[in-house]
Amino acid sequence: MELRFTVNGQKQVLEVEPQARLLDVLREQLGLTGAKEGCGEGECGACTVLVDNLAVNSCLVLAHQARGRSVTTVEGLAPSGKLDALQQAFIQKGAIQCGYCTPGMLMSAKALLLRKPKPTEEEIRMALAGNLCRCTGYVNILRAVQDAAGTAESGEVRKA
Amino acid sequence: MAVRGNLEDSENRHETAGPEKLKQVGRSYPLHDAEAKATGRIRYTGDMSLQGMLCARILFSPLPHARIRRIDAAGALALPGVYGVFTHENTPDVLYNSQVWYAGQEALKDERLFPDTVRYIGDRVAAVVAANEQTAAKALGLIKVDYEELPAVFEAEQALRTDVPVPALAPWASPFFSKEISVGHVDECFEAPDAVVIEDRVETPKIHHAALEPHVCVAYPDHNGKITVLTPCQILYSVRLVVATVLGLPFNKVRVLKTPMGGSFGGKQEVTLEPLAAFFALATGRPVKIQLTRHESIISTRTRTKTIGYVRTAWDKAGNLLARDLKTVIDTGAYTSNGAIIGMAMGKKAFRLYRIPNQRYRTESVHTNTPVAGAARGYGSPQIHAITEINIDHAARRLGIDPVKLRLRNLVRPGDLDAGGGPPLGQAQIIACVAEGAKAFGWAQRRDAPHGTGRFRRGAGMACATHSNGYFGGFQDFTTMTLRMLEDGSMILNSGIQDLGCGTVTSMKQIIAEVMAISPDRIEAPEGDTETSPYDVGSQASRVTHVAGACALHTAGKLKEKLCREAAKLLECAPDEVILQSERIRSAAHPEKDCSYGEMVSLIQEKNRTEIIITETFQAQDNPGSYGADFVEVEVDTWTGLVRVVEVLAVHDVGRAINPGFVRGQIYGGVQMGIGYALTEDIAVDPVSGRAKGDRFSRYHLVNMPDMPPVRVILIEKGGDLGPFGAKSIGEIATCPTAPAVVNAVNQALGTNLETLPLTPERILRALACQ
Amino acid sequence: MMHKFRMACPDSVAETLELLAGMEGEIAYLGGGTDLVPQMQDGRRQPDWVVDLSQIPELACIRFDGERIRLGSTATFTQIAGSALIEEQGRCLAQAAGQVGSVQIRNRATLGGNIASASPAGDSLPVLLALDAKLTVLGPAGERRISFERFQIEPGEGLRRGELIAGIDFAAGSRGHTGDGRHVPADKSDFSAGGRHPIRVSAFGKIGSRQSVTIAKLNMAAFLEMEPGEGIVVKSRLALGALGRHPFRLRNVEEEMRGRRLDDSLIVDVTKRLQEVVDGAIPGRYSQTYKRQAIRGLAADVFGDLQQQVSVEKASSSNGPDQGGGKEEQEIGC
Ligand SMILES: Cc1cc2nc3c(=O)[nH]c(=O)nc-3n(C[C@H](O)[C@H](O)[C@H](O)COP(=O)(O)OP(=O)(O)OC[C@H]3O[C@@H](n4cnc5c(N)ncnc54)[C@H](O)[C@@H]3O)c2cc1C
Ligand code: FES
Ligand code: FES
Repeated sequence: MELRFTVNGQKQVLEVEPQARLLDVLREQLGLTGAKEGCGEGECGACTVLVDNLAVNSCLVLAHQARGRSVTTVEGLAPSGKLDALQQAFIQKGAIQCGYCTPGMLMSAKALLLRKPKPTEEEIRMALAGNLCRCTGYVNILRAVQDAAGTAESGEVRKA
Repeated sequence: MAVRGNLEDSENRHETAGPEKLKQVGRSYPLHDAEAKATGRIRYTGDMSLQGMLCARILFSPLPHARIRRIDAAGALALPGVYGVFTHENTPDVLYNSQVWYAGQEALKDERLFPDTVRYIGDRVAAVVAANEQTAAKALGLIKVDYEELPAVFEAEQALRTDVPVPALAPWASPFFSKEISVGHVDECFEAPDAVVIEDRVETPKIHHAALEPHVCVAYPDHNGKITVLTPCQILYSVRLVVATVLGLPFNKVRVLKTPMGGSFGGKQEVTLEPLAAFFALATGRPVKIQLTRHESIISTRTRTKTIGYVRTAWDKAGNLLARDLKTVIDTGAYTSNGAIIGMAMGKKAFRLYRIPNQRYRTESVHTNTPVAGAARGYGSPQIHAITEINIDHAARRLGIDPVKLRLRNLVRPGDLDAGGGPPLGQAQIIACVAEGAKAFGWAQRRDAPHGTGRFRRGAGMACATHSNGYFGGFQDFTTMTLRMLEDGSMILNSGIQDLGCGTVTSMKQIIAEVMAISPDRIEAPEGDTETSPYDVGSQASRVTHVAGACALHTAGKLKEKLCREAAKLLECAPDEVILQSERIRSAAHPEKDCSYGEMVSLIQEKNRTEIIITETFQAQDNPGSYGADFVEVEVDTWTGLVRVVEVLAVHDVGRAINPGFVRGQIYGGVQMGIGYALTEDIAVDPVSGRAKGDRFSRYHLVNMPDMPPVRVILIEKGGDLGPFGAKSIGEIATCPTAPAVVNAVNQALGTNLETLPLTPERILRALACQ
Repeated sequence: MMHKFRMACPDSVAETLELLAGMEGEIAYLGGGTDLVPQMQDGRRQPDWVVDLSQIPELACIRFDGERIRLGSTATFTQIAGSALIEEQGRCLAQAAGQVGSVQIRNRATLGGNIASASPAGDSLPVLLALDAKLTVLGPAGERRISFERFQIEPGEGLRRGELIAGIDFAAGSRGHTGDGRHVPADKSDFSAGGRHPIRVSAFGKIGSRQSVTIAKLNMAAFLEMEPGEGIVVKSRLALGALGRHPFRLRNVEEEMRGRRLDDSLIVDVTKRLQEVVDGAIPGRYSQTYKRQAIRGLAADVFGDLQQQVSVEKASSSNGPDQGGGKEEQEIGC
């Protein structure tokens, strides 16, 4: 079945099996391996990409459901090679350890900032609730998003 | 991209400044591959695709214990695109143990590629190797297996009972391992008339490591009979050993390459998929990838041991810990793995945190028909500290003494020896951790604050822990490294390191950079390759910074000597008059004649006809304790049983933080894992069916971002031991004090004595109902 | 790995119904895919046809037709949670929508999918009972309208082969609308007590195993209509989920609440009754002990929320009724 959609700004026309998930097409047919499969059931968020600027779990979307839509993956965050503010903040704030959750975290954070450029801490926490990380305890991820949004407070993360 | 340290380096670090002013060590550089990770450019093993690569999928046993009568693979083999079906009938029957890391290591060998009797739900029955995942999955469904079901046992203490007619799993008896360490006169202390005796039974669950990258491995053959294994592993040489043993290949025909690690926490320390992938590659002559799903990773790889701890302590009224009698029953699951060593690892920690003149530790390890336990961040420390630290708080309640005061009275001090006969504790700064932590946390106020009487109750708790710094005193522990400076002044470190995402590569660079007066980005430090890298004991036993880091320091020191020696000949001065500064080299006498490192190395090659290269072996000579104390405040909803961790303060004695940002990162992650251990995480094997209830993320809850409390960190950096610049380990100890601190806080909030982890809402409400 | 199936991607409802004629075997509609895709991935579901409804504009609307709030079945929980119209006219639905899964799930998961999946813990289901919602179902045999409650429990009334849920509707619930959906302009109010409007409030709550991204161990929705003067409960609908196969209405409890004030003693009595309901619903189950305790917390959350809303409503009622939910800009789709 033919699938027409846009990925990272580029129009694509692909022959795609009905049962392919968006994640499979991105990784296998387009070689965009940034999005990862950490659970395949919508729980971990490692596969998060944007569809028309909304964060979705690409493991739960059939590829053909993206017909006519615009998909953005982590590879599309720095199209001209210049890092997005979120990417820079993740690097500088120590928000990356093993890095397996990072593409999904970045895309969820990106979707949030597109919608809400100055989110509160609570909004960041809820926006990233569907992205699990086992390495960082989320502490520096929160800081990085605040930093990229320009809402970072000096000092500690959050007072109880 | 060179980013300067900006992770609030100066904040909350208590150091005794060394004589030297450090330029590179003590700075928070980002990970060497952070940008590749942030852009999606990095290729993890699952992202790799090789020409002609096949996919393997494994059929896992649906039964907890069964003899395989017959496997009919005809249907699967007939499917186009299937290259092979592998079962116990056509694979090596070599028995091995998945956790051995050096040749000649003794361990019970009870695993094989495919057993003829499956021992747990998740054991390997067969595998299909096919052109793609779809075909492999389809073929798997066509394999017919005829099982003869056997009785099974799912609970450790059941496995210990001789009156229960359940056959032992293997030829081994139950327990298959038991041991006792004893010092002083334990029994007498308990019999003393005025001794206050506090007794507990603490249970800790089997948990899943939950690295976000599920287990994966690629292997490919070459034209000369060599197999190359690409694996996100922790111990390259362990993989080589097991693969070569199972396949019957010479060690130099097995090449293991460490690929980027999508998280491990011990879960990828043991050799699980590698011999399978290697065998399939050999058998089919093609590259083969095995990629597990999350569910498969949870049930079929490794877990933390389930542990039941019996602990009795005897105290005098003043709060002196007179004696402790400890016993652990360790459920290692269906195969032995590290089931013997881990009981001892737990026991050793018990002698290194408090001054206890009389102590006995006994351990028994049993097999059950449940997922296999193995290495897991802390290697027994989270288990034993949960057991002992919950008991200490129980004692504090009974004695009416504040738990911080009670601990301060009994904790070890710097320079103490190990009462159990292990290596000296070194600069054990746990008292500083507790004292600083109590102050910064506002312990006294929080502890005395009213708990509340309504629906929500608050409480504060804390706990301490210790962990090791390598194998010194137990097993051989050494590392070899080769370091060179190239003709442009850049450097290459060739070593067998494996970075688990914690920053090993960058830390090594910082250590070398410090010695060589060079920027860390001028150093390449690739991860290990068994064909070309010198030997390393592996990223295990919290040894990497302390031992491998020391090796980097010594090797760099030797390289610097060589550079100075060779340069002196050209600068016509004595070697000790050569000055290295900001990647330039000169003599003290003729500072105007300075040149870059690159110019000098080129000149040395041209004139002295030698290379600036050094290979050094470093042998560990100490094994001090790393120490940590966590302070936690919780709020418990007494109507729903849900616990909210309000705040955590973690204080760690790390000797010296090579990269404080990495150290904090380890602690934040360790706290997340510890809270999960205390409150939600449990594979939860059903005692009737043997099926894991927490077998996928929808039923196995990690702490997510909304539930993660703010974490403050204080680092105690007083140095003094033999690690590089005094550095000690952090990755494993980071998670050890958290769970008991959370449990202690909940018990304080509620006035309960909960001691079965995790403290699920159901358990909390039941305990409240019993009050 | 998914089995092979054929897929149809219609652009309109009419096209969907036309396509049905040519389809053999099992047909599965696809909304957001958050339930169906993983089920197909691990082989639990193996339909022959998958019909994607996710890009049919007429199914994605949220609007007010002057009497009832109408949602297309593919309205996502993100849209529902963010809709001012729903917030005002069926607050408990907005609350439930906002607590489904994570952002990524809510961006895909649809109300229709939640209904069709019929999980015992589905968060929208007790809400639809509390709002007394009706469904519009389309299929080869045409259209039928049915109350959600009957759809859920009555044998043969659930989805038949080829049928899809097209829409969900319920009576507007804010001040200014009657309980049965008639719009009552402020000046023509015929309600008792000096022309003042009844107060209508609703709330949803759930208890899972963590704060967010959690399937409910218990969920509950409540709708109350109260006489404005004394705050006497005139009418109520109360529904509980995750206690057996389907969520259910608690008509006895609703009856007992009638004529009482929404005060703490009512909450105490209702809580006691809820505990009995739990005991009756899952006697002897392992989870009974827990749920009969935990429902206290849930009742406190939900009724506490209702009380709070009532006091806000009372405070603002002196400013006269609002304009209802008919604002154009609140509508999505269609
Ligand atoms: C991580 C995660 C968290 C979740 N959390 C929650 C939660 O907190 N609360 C909750 O209630 N649910 C939760 N769910 C379940 C799920 O998201 C919801 O049930 C969702 O509403 C399903 O909608 P969908 O559009 O994705 O359905 P789909 O997966 O597209 O379809 C589900 C079923 O409904 C059928 N169907 C879909 N649309 C129609 C229609 N219009 N007419 C007829 N049949 C139709 C399909 O054929 C299929 O059988 C969660 C799921 C995941 C993966
Ligand atoms: S892989 Fe999609 S959410 Fe985990
Ligand atoms: S950095 Fe490893 S999972 Fe997040």
